[in-house]
Amino acid sequence: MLRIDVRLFGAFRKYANGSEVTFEVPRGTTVSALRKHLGEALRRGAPAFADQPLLDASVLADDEQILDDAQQLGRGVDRISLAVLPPVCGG
Amino acid sequence: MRVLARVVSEPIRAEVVAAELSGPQYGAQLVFWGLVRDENEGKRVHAVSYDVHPALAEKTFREIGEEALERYGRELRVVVIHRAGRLAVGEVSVVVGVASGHRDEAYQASRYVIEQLKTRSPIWKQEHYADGDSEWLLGHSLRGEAQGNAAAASAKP
Repeated sequence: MLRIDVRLFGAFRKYANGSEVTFEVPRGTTVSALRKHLGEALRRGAPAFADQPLLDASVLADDEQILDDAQQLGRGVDRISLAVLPPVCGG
Repeated sequence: MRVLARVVSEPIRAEVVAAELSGPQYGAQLVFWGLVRDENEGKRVHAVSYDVHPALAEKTFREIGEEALERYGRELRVVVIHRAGRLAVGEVSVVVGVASGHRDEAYQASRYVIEQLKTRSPIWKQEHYADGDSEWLLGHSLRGEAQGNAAAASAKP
């Protein structure tokens, strides 16, 4: 299994004390599937979770780049740290 | 470095920006200051909290700045600085500075950088209202921004 830490930003800050959620997924899970696992993890912590549309409009990223939906995760590592980025509005 | 990209938690000082844009080859300095406004869509705004993914935001600023150099001239100097944290009305949230030989490329590059920054940078705004309420603003989805992801690009709403 692969351990995933996902840092929360923007409107997701209202979950998990605004920091991050941690969960396990099978090695080789795609980024697209990870988005579903993240939704389940958020829902476990907050049964009234109503931000599925926001999650559907969000991307996952590491510190370097936004990850491709088809990318598989976990080659050669046991744990990875990502961030969930909801729609942006800087400036 | 032709592009300076920073996320900061302290106020942005005008003299620092001016110093970054100075040089004998520059006949134009153009600085855009973005400020926190006291109203949005009919609501009285007291303050705005900026949530930022610093590493990714600075990388995005650098990429946008490099694109501006490609488009408007390699000799340009571009400075992009964005605040993080809670800002009161009137405080500066973002600065886009451009130095160039002549004014035309400075205006074009400045406009390009601020417009791209708003739709591509991992930054989120939470407005705090006079009535005590607060709200995260709706933004621009980054789906389709992954490099070389044709599938995601075609799925973009």
